[in-house]
Amino acid sequence: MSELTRRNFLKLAGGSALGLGLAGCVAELPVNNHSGKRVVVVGGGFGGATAAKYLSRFDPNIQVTLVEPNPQYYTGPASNWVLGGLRTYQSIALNYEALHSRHGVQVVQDQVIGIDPTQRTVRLQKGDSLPYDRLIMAPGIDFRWQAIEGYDEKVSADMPHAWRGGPQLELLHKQLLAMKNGGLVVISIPAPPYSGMAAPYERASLIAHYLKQHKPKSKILLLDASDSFADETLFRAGWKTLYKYGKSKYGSSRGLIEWMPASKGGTLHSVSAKTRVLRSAAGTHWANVANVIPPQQAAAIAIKTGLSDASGWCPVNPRTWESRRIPGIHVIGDACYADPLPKTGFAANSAAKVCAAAVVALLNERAFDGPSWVNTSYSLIGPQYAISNAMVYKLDAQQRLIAVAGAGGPSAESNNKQLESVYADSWYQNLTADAFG
Amino acid sequence: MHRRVSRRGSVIYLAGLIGLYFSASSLSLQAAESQALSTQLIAYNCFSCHGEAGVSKTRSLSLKGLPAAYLTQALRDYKAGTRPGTVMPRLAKGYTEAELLAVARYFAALK
Repeated sequence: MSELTRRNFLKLAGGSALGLGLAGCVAELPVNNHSGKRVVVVGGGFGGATAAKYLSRFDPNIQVTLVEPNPQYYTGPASNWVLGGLRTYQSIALNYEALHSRHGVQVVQDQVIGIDPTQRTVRLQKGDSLPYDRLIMAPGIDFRWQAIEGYDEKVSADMPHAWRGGPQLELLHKQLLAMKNGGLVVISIPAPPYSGMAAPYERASLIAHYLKQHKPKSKILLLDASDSFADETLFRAGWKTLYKYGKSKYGSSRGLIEWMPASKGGTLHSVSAKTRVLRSAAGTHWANVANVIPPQQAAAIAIKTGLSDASGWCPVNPRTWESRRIPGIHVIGDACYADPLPKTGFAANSAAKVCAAAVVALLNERAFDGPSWVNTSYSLIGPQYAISNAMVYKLDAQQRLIAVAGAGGPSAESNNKQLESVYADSWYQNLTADAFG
Repeated sequence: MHRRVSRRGSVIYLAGLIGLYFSASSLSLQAAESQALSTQLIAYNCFSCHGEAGVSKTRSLSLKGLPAAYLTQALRDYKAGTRPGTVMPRLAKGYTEAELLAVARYFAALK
C-alpha cells in the first residue's frame, strides 16, 4: 500500500520520471526517523481489530499492541442469523491470529484495569503496564443494569440479553429451541442509542422465521421504548409478506410479530426472573422466553477513565477520533458519541481506518485532511429477504461529521430482496475478513 | 519491512527535494499528500464489501485492476441513477465527480 501511496504522490507531485530519479538517489538514506512509536489499542471488536490492522498497514514501523480479554470475538452482525438457524454459533467466532501473523500486531490477552493519561500507560489485570504514544480505545458498550427494576447480570442467566455474542447468544438460542409450540417470546428494546442499528428488529424477524417453521402457534411481542425505528417501513412490509404482520378486522394483532411502541405502553419497567414476568405501562406480560436488551452506555473502562460525558458516551473530534476530554486518547466504535454515524460494526470499521490514518499522520507529523466514512448495514427479514441501509459521511465546514445530503438511506422498496440477501452474506464475509483477516 | 520503510522515507525526503528544486510551497505538497490519503481512505471503505485491496472473496465484485474508464462510467451512472443496483446507487451519490474519478484510478492501478 505504501508503494501505491508513493505512486499517487509522484503523480500528484508532477512527473514520474523525475520522481523515480529522485527516489533512486534517496534509497540509501537512513529512514528510521519515526521508528519506535507505540500505539496501544484496547478492545478487539470491529473497531479495535481494524484499527490495529490498518495502523500497521499505514506505517509498519509503529509498534501496535492490541489488548483484548477474550481469545475469540463473536460478531454482533450475523448473531441473529444464528437465532434463525441460518448459521452455526461457531461460524460467527473470529480470532486474532491473522492480526499477529499477517500484520505484526502484538495481541495481549488481558483486561485493562486502569489508564494513566499523564504517564501515558495502560495497566493490565495480570500486572503488566503498557506505555503508549497514542492510545485507541474501542471497548464497546456496557449495560445500565440499574435502568430496569429487577434486571441485573445475574438475572440475565434466565432472561438473556444475548447482545454481545458468546454464551448469552447461545443461551437465548437454547431457550428458543426448548420452548413449546404456542409460547410467547418477549423482546424488550431500549431507547437508542444502542449498538446495532436495526438489530432488535432483525432479531424479531429471524426468530419469527424459526417459529414459523417449527412452532407456528407461538408469538413474539416487541416491547419498545421508542415510537419508531430504523427501516421501519421496510421491516413492516417484510413482516407482512413473511409473517402475516398486522391487525385483524377486529383490531387484534395477528401473525407472529406484535410491535408495542412506547406510546402504547411498550417501555419495559421491571422484570421478575422467577416467574418470567415483564411489566410495562401496557400491563404484565408472561413470557416463555424473555430477551431483555438493556439500555446502554460506553464500556466501564471508558467511563472510569473520564472519556465519557453526561450522556454516558465518549465525545470525539471526528477528524482524528481523538477524545474531546483527554488528549492522546482516541475513541472509536460503539463507545463514542459520533452521531449521525450509527453504532455498527461496519461504521466502527470505517471509523477505525480514518482513526488509524490520523494517528499515523499525528505520530509522523504529516498532513491529514479530507476523511470520509461509510456505513452499510444489512438486515435479514427472512433467509432470502434482506434490506439494507447505507450512508456516506463527511466533515462539514465546521469540522462536524455529517451524512452527505442526497446520498444513502434505506433500500428502495422496489429493490430485489433476494439479491440483497445474497449481498448480505457477501457483506458479512468481506467485512469480517477486512477487519480480522 | 525495510523496503516499505525506505519508500516512505523516500517520499518524505522527496518532498523536501522537490521543494528545493521547484520552490513548491510545502503547503501544496502537503495538500497533494493529503488528497492521496483521502482517496486511499475512500478506497479502504470500498474494501469492506468488495474485499481487501479490491479482491472479493464472495459474490460482490472484485475491483482490483478493472479498467479506470469502466469503473468511472459505472460510478457516474450509479450516481446519476441510470445504472441499476442495490447499495451502490445510494453510495455513489455521496461522492463528488473528482472523488469517483480518483477512486476508479486507484482500483485500476492495483496490480
